Formats: sequence, C-alpha cells, structure tokens
Amino acid sequence: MFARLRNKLRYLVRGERIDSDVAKELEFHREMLAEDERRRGHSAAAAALNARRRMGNTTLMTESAREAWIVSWLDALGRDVRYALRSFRRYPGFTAVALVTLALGIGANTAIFQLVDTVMLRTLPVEQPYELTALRRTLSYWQYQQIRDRNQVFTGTAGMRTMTAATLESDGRSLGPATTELVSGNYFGVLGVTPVIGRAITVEDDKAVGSGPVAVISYGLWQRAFGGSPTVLGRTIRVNDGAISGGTSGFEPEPTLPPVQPLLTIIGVAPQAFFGASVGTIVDVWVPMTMQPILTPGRAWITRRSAYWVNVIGRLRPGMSVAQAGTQLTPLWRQIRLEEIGPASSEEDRRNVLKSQLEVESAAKGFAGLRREFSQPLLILMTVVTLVLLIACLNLSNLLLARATARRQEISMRLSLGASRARLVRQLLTESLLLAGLGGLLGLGVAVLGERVLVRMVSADAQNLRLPLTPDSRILFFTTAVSLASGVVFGLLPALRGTRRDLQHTLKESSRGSTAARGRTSQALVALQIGVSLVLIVACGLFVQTLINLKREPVGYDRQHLLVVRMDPVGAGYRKDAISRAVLDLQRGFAALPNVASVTFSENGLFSGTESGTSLEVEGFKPATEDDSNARFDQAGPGYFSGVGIPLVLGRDFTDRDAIGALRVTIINETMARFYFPNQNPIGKRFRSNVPGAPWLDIVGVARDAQDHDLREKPVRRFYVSYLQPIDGITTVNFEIRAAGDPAPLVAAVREQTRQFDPKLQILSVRTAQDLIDRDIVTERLVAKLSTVFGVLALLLAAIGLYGVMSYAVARRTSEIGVRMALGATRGAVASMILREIVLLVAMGSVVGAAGALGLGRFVDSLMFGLAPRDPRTLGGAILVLLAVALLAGYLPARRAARIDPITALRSE
Amino acid sequence: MRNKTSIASELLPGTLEMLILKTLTRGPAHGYAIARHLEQTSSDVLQVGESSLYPALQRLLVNDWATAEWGETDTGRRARFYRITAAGRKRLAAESAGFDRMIGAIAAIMHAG
Repeated sequence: MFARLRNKLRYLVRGERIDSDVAKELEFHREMLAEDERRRGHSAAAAALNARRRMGNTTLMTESAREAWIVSWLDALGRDVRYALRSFRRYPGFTAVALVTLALGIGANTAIFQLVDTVMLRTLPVEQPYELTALRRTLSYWQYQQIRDRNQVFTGTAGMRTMTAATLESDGRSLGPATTELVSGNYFGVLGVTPVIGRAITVEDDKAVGSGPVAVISYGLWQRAFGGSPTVLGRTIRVNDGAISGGTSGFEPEPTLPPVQPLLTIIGVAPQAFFGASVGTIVDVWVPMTMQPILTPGRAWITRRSAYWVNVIGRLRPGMSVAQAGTQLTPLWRQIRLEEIGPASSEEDRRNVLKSQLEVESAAKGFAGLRREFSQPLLILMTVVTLVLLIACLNLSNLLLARATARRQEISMRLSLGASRARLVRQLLTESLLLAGLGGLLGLGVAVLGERVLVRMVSADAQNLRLPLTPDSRILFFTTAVSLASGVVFGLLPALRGTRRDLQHTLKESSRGSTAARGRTSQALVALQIGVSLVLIVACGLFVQTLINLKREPVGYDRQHLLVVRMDPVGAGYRKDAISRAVLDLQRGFAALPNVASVTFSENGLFSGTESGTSLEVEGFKPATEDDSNARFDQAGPGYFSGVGIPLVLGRDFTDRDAIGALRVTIINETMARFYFPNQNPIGKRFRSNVPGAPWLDIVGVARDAQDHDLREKPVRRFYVSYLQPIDGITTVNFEIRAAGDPAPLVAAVREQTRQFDPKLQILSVRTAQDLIDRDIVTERLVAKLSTVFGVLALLLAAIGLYGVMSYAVARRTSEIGVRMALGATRGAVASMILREIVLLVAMGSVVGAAGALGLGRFVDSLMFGLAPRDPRTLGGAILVLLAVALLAGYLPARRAARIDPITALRSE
Repeated sequence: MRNKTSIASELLPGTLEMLILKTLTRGPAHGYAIARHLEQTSSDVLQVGESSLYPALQRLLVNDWATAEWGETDTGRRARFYRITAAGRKRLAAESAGFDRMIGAIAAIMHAG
C-alpha cells in the first residue's frame, strides 16, 4: 500500500519525466519494428510506414500508460468508496447517528471558527496589511494634523471616525440606518483601497470645512439601495441625525450652525470585501472628515482642541517595525503636547506631558477594540466546540468498534483469503473519512443556520455590532481539515483493532471469548467521553452561575420599572441655560403622563457607556498617591436619588433650588465618604476639582453605593453635582422615568411628549435600566447561552455513547446473565449489576474530567464573577448531572438484562 | 492461419502482467523483446499490442513488481530494460497458483461433458 502510494506521489512530482520515458520507449519500439520490416525486404520508407501502422496511436498509448499511474489508484479508491456506501446502506441506523453527530460537531466548529476568523484572524483586505499601524489613543483633529505632517515613520497617516445613529436618505427615499465614517482625504490612499467604480475621496475633497460634499458608498449599500447600477455615480444621499459618541473630554458646545443636512454626491463604490478598518463595524458611507461640523450640527469637533475623537492608522515606511514606530513617535507626541499647553502651563502639567507615551499597535487586522473584548470568550467557545467534536468522535469510534466486532466474520474471511491488513485498514478508513466528509458537508449547512442564530443572538444583545460573515474558501478549508481530522480520529482505532490478526481465530469461535478486550477498549472510550463531557458541563455551570450572579448583583435601585431616555439637546440647537430650562420643562411634562411614578434626569445616565471623572482637591485630605485624588462624577437633576431609587444615608437630595447663584452643593457616595472622611460626618465638608478656578462644592448628602456603569466593578468613589450647577459643559441628558407599572407602554407617550415639546429634539435611545444592564453583560450572556447549548449537546452524545456500550455489553453477556439467573440471581440483582458498571464508568470518567476541569479553570478565571473556577459545588453538581444522565441512558439496557429469560439465553449457546 | 488472440480484450484481467512477469524471470528485457518473446513462445497465438503492453508495464512499475532502467541493446541502441523485483516474484507465484487452479477448474468443467 505504502509503496504504491509513494510511487503515485512520485508520479505527481515527476509526471513529465515518466511521460517522456514512455514516449522514448515507444520510439525505440517503432524503430525495432521498422528494422524488422526491413529485414523482411521492405524498402526503408515502406518499413517506416508499416512500423508506424503496426504501432497505432502512440499518443493514446502514452496516455493509457499514464493512466496506469493514476487510474489504478482512483480505481482502488472508487472500490473502497463503493464498498463504504454499500456498508452505509447496510447499517442505516448507525450511518444516520454518525452523520447527525458529525454534522452537529463539525457545524458548531465551523460556525464558531467563522466568528474567530472574522474577529481575530482575518487581515484587512488592503495592500500590505502588515504595514498598517494604529495609534492606541484618539487624537484631536489638530493633533492628528500635527502627527500626520511631522512624523518620520509613516509614508501616510490617515484619520477616521465612525458616526453612530445615522440614517440615510436618497432622493427622498429612506435607506434606513447606516454606519457613516468620516475619513481624512488620504484614507483610501494610505489603506490602498481602490473603488470598484468611480473615484476615492481625495485630499482635495478634504481640504477645508464643507469643501467636499461627496461620499464613497459600500458595495453592500450599492447593491442593496441602488441595485448595483453604475448610474449611482453622481446621485445624492443625505446623512441624517448622525452623532459621534464617547471618546471625548467635556467641552462647551459650539456656536450654532444651521441644522441643515447637505446632500452628498456619490463619487465611488468601495470594493466588496472592504468594510472599513474596525472589526465589528460595517461602514456603509465614507465622507470627508472636514464635513464633520456640517454632519453633526452644533459640534465643530474639528476645530476643538479638547475633543479627542480621531482614530489614526499609519502605513509604516519600508523597513520600519511597529515597535520602532512607537519609539520614534513618542518624542514627537510630547513635543506636540508641549506646544499645545503652551509656555504658561504649570510645572506639573509639563512633567505629565513628558511622561506621556504614544503607544502604537499593528492594525493589519484593523482596530483592536472588538478583538480585545471578544478574543477570550471566542477562544473559550472554540475550545468548547472542539471538545464537543472530540466527544462526537469518541462516540463514533465506539460505535465503529462495536460494528467492527459485528463484522469480524466478514473481516476474518477477507484476511484469510489473502487481503492484506493494510488494505483492510485503508478500506475501513475510507469509510470513516467518507462518513466524516458527508458529515462535514451537512455540518456546513448546520454552520450556516447556526451562524444565523449566533448573529441574531449577538445582535439582539449588541445592536451596534455588525460582522461581515460570509462563508469563503478559508472556512471551507477549515471545515475540510476538521472533517478529515475527525475521520482519522474516530476511524483509526476501530480500523486497527478490527483488523487484528487474532481476529482470524474468530472464524472458528463462537461469539464468546476474544471480545473482552474490545469491551475494555470501548469502556475506556466511554469513560473518556464522560470525562470530556464533565469538563464541558463544569464550564457551562461556571458561565451560567457567573451570569446569574451578575444578574442578581444588586445595583442599588429597582431596575425593572426604570425607563432611561437619552436625548441630544445640543443637536437641536439648545445651549447652556436653554438646556437646563428645556430639561426642566420636559421633566414636568413627563411627570404629568399617566402611570409615571417619578421623573428625574442626569448627564451620563445609567449604564450608558459614558462616564465622567476628575481629579479633586479635598479639604483636610492629603493624597498619598496620584490616584487618591481621582473620583468619578455625574451631574444630576432635582430628585435624582429618590427618582432612581438610590437611598440617601445622610443629608438631602438635589432640588430645583440647587441652581446657579445658590450655594454649590454635592452629594457623595458611601465609598467616597469612607475614603476621604473616615469616622467623620462628611456633611458640610468641601472639595473642588483640580481645574484652575473651579468652585468649592459643599457636601449636602451621602448616598448608598450604586452600580451605574459596570456590574463587575467594585464601587468606586463617586460624587454628584446638580445638573443646574454644572462643573462641566452639559451636552446630553438622560431622563430616568420610573413607571408605576409596565414601562413599555410609556415609551410612545414619552416620544409624543418630546415631539410636542420640540420636533427637532432627537431621542437617541429609550431603554429600561434592565435592558441597559443586560447589554453591559452581553459577552457573559453569549458565553453562558452557547456553553449551555454545547453542554446539553455533550450530555446527549455521552448518553448515546453510554447507551450503545451498555446495550452491547448486555447483548454480549446474555448467556452469562442467563447462567446467573439460572443460578438464582434475581432480576433486581442483574439490573443493579449493570447499573453498578455504569456508576463505575462515570466514576472513572469523573476522575479524568475533574482533572481536566481543574486544569482548564485558570483560563476562564478572568471571566468568572462571584465564584472561583475551581468551585467545588459546580464540580459536584456536574458529576451528579452526569451520573443522572448516565443512569437514565443505562436504564433500558439494564431493564433488558433483567428481562433475559435464562432458558432462551442458554439455549442460544 | 491460426486464430490470434489479442491479450487486452480476451484474456482475464491481470493475465498479461503475469505473463510479462514470467518473461522477466528469464532476465531483464525491454518492451519490444518482451512482446516478441510472448509471440514466439505462444507460437504467435498471443499478439501483444503495444497499446496494452506499455500500460501493463507501467502497472508493474506502479506496484513495485518491476523496476526499469535505461541501458544499451546488443546493437547499441538505448532501450528501457525491465527487471522483476522480489515483490514481483511473489506476485507471480500467487498469480500462477491461482491461474493453475482456474485452468484446472475450467478444464474440469469443459471435460465434464
């Protein structure tokens, strides 16, 4: 077998040489024929002609000689495949179980791998992706310009920023929500992306504010909204209601620009595979960065030195490494920062600037945000599905082993008729591989369906997450490799065991005897399977408990009936005092709605992803470290604490009298009170922000610690100031509306009330606090859900495996059991004998599984909440679950054993 | 003139390989010589067409039953000489045993009247 294979491979490598050998041989043969003809007296010409005639078609001959190398191999393969298909038909039950098992196992692997590939492995579809380098911080537009024009490490430096919540419209027709990216004029050039039709945005388009009302649209949008027609060039679209969220320090709103959205002329269509430079975002429209103040009216971030919003990717000069780029950029960054703060800055500020770093990282796979967030959960899920497939393979291995025993007469016959063992092993392996291949094919279908469910699960929890999941050659390659690997994994052992020479004796033997060894092998396989299942069930238990702990984690207020409504007053043209007045008016309006228990508001809201922090000077407190001065804060409206439901331990809530002109007041949380004023009454104490000229704030209340932004975080020092006495420019507002009953019907009323108040005022989101908190734990929910699905699958497979083995064991031992019963064993004793074996298998498997679970525990440590990965209760519970399932699976075989009729059993001997 | 049998179409599969192997037990030979030997030994009953001879020789190579090497003939021409291997001899032994049984069986049936 191996010699043939080697020869075939040699042909594949040196095929031409062999062909030319044959051609030369035939030439020699013809010359010999011609010589023969001449000897018979023909003329030289006639001899040559006759010889050629006698030879016939030499090309055909060369070809059939070549076929000898290839066809006989294919022939053998074809025979094996036909044989395998015949045996599939002969054991339809086995084949069905095998295919379903494999399809689920391989499908799960393909689906998760596709996520891993999209999020973690794939490089951007751009020129030389490994030259791309991202800055690990966002810059102001001015800083970006400085870095772009003054650095010595990049051949080009592009800036970009994705806008959220935008909707598109073309010729009065709504195209629905769309992701818009503001990009610098050199963006397409630096990335090396060429539009499929039209042209890219250029430096000229991006020259000055408003100079380029143009857009490049994505291939997907082109197909979706314009039917892929080339006439799209020159048509116009409008980007409505865009916003840029997060990533900024507080700043004052700009003088008003009229909120009129300009028409953008479509100048090009990006390539199909290009979705922008961030994984998890699919950009639909690219617009020149200098259009920013016009697209998000009221916010001229582009001229604001304090707005840090530009993401930067540079293309490395040839020979430059990412690390070198970081080393060389930092001095430039410090220089730019020093120029920015100016010579009048304090000694401390300058020291801080000189300590700052400009860190960089490879952007070959795009910006790393999503990758950082999802890498670990994805790797865990990949491990989980790999283990599921391993269980499936062990299961199949066991089934095949049982079948090999059933077929041992046939195999022994063929061995004794002279078939080589290698030949039979190859044939059995062909069967497994064919099975795995078909299973893989079905698995692809499962993966496509599973992917849809997965995407729905993810996007139900995180709507801003969009992944371009399209099956491609990489996925096909992965599936093929996994299928072949599983075919070998589950096929090899049964093939080797099933064709052992000692089986030849079985021709002469009855069904008793030499099968004990097989029994032991298959028991070991089942024990291993139980062990791997245990690992999965423990993992599932840990993730589900983490999720439950997170869900039960007290936030300090009732989250069920609290509606959080986020609005954008700045976008509607409100400024400073006008914002406060409008917000107070709205508060009164909402409070008058039916079924509203209370209404309050705050700047950052709850679990919104927006946080404020500052450095403090606290009267009578000496900070030991820099961090001791830091605290988070929010600006909250009248009745905030009673409205949200956070109890006050001391002092009073905010009122509408805590406004400009009155004493500046603050309410701190318990953690902050304990830290700065241990064993003292903090009421009446004062602190202020470290910003020059910041006013002193008088503490008028102490509130219970509440979780308002991160469930996993321990309570941090936090203070609240009155929304009507802001210490930081107000740009947004979140209303916290407590409903008297179900908050859902309130949503429409709130929207209507807002529209009546001011149609321009945009509601950015309406959600219950519960919903917002759930979004905060999207990863945990995803991992818990999926590991439960796979845990159940693993249990099911383990149950099938156990059932198969025990059924086989009972069948094999029919006569033994018959003897036992004839000797007086009761049915109960026989059944408990079988069940004891099951308990023994579970015990053996549990030892293996417990070791595995404890060993793998440290990889999930950082994902745990409220319990340790080596939680003994979880392990114990998992073992009990396994045992219960095992006993259930063993019940039928045990009952069958108990019902064996000793007379029949002994007669069948 | 006696009927001639074309090996490719009318003999049992594998027989030509067996005959070639048998021929090669006399010593290394090139394709032309093998064809002539088969014709002469069978008193021209077996006509070995080149179109079946060379593929058969390739099959021997594929299965490692023979090796091939370029060399010179008596008349100084370059020709490819085939040489039987140990595996080839084993194969020949197995085949000829089977062949004898088969012939015996056929003869028994034919003479059973």
